[in-house]
Amino acid sequence: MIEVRFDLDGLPITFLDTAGLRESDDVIEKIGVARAKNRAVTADLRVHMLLQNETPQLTVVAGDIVVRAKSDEAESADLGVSGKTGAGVDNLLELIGQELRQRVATIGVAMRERHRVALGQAIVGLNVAISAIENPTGMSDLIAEDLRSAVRAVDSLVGRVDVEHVLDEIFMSFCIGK
Amino acid sequence: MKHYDVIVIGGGHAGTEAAHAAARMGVSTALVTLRADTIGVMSCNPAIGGLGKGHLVREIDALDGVMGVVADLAGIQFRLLNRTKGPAVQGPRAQSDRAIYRTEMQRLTAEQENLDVIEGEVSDFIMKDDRVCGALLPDGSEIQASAVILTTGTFLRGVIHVGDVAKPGGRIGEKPSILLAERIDSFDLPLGRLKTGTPPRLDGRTISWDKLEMQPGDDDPTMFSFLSKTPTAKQISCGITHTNENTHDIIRENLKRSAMYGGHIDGIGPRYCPSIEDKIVRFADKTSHQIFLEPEGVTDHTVYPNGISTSLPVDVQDSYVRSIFGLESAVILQPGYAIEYDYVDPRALKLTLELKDVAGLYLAGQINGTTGYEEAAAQGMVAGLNAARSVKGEEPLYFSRRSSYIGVMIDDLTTRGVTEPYRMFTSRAEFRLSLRADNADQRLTEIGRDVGCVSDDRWKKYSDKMVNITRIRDKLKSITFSAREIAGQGVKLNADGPRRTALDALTLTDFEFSDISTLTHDFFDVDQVIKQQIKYDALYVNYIARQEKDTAAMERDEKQLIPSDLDYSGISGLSNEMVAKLTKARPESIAKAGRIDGVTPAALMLVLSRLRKVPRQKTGS
Repeated sequence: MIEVRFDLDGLPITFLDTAGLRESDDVIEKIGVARAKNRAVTADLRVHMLLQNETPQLTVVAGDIVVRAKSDEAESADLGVSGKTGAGVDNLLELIGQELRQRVATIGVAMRERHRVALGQAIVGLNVAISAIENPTGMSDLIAEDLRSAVRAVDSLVGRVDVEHVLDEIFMSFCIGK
Repeated sequence: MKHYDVIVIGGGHAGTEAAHAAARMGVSTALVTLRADTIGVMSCNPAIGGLGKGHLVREIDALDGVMGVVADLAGIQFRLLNRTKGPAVQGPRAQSDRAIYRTEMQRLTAEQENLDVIEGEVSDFIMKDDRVCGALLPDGSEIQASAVILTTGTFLRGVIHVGDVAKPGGRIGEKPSILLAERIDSFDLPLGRLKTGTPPRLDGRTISWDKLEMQPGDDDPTMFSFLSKTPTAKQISCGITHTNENTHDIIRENLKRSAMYGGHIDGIGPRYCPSIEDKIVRFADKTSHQIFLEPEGVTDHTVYPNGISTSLPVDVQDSYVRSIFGLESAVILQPGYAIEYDYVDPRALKLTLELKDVAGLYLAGQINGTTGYEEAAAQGMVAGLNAARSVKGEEPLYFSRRSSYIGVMIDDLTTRGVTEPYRMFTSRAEFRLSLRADNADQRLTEIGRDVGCVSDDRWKKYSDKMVNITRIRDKLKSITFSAREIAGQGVKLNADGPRRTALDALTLTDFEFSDISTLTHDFFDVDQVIKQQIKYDALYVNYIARQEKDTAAMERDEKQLIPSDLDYSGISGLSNEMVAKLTKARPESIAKAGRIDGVTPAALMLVLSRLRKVPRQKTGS
């Protein structure tokens, strides 16, 4: 099974590709398919890729997305995706993003004491940074350190924020002069 | 047949620093280079230092290296970058006179004891079993050595692109090393391909300087070396100009003729230093980009236009350069070009920069996927010191992320590899508030003295400085002020607060030594450098104390060494994916294992408990 971690509009998403969920007599393949189904069932959202007239192998739960696979082979009014040409991928990502954004808007991810403590620490760091930014003698390197400590505090909730991500953001809009 | 302890191949910034480091350690060293008169040549921009890079130069200097000393002698414009942003992120930088840099580097190299320069192209290594133990020259002569450091930069299958014209070559006008590349192939090392570029060089006599904005150096120059006091070369100003819509149109119209956009180049270039073609494409909404016109020396008419590196054909370079304000009649002395080259995936290296699979062979510099003179020299230092230590039968010297940028870089390279030419940034260091350019000597000079690479002269100057710092600090602890006195100096502080020592008061960002002098009428008769050092240490002391838990955790993980022959597949509970990742990376410590992409905390716990079962390993430095 292929796993890809992905930043979709700020949402940390793990895509799992289950390959084909077909019936099989081969013992090893059977185990593989069972595992894939298990992962799919426990996922937050499933994207069912179906050919025309194909029935889903798994129950389609409310919030799941059904798309027409191999959309380059036949015209269809449904949302289609083509692995060959890449057509429809944008729409699919947008749909996934919409659905998940809507869900996280109402969900509480901080459910343990350590989460509460971590968020508390992050807030302290952010507040110190904000007041230092407003202070004319505030030093940028210390402000950055307070932001960094806020980031480190929430690492346990949102996953590690890597320096490469920070550099990526910086050089999207800027290149160094000297 | 000649015998040396250490052979360094390549006379660039990594090679010279490596050779000097090994020689200072007291082992006999040979620097083998194609031409002795190219030692110390700056093949790209005529400048040393910058953000993050300035820190590296300071650290090299703290270990008694040569780069800082030479850069100070050659410096024709000193500027402290990020001056207003706090000492931890300030980067000393100096424009260099190419000719002086080369001359001084060659002079120091000639003067260095235990160091010989041998001219020639190394065509092959001498192998004994699976160990590299010398180098072979094309005339058949052999040089034997216990350790070989390879610093061949972009010479490995280098290809130079000017527009759609490509030809093999390392630097312009020099031959690439194909024979050596074939030997490297036989080691079956993981290779990748990168690219980098340079701008066209201009004839300064054809630039209309009188209408350009000029930028002088700092009034109080920040030197690289802890031994230097003031610049010695004549100081100059740089010009500033900008690209405009017309320039951008010319480039846009000719994009297909660029080596990069024409599909002639596969290598990956850096995000942070895009070519002018890249800038036009990526920042399409910007109508102008800044260019610094940097003279390459006081007696040299060549000007390096920083900010417009390119792989466009010569005629396009001509017309876009002339579309720029002040460059209307500028003449190009040497066209800009892009260069593609092979690098060895640095994850194949140990923390000493010796290859994991080829004993006796160390790699340093651009060959490891880095960019920049400073990054190269810092690796040269690490390889040189460790090659010498291995010759002497001593334990490896590891540089930690906790105590140096050198450590940050070596750890980043050997743990995570590179996806673009690796450049240092202060943001790469977790503990950058303590890894400052100003305290590099306090972090490293003692370590250097212990291993034997720091001269008596430097050690004495350092010791004197430390005695003075301690003396002044003690004195500051014995002076106390009321909060009202401190606030009276215009410092933002509640006037009803408790009394503080003068040292404590210095932790306030807006309280300076001059305030102490006003309050006590004592002028502290010491060097400005020492006052500044005490002030900076005070500024960060509270923050650094807060980081202690993090540093302690990292130290603990670094000291938990993992034997290189640990059988991960024998650890029960470890998933196949983790076994594969760890077996491939062969991390030296738990700290490194934790930074391998995708290795989970749960996997680390399993490895840790396995380590606890076997007899405890020796701890690192």
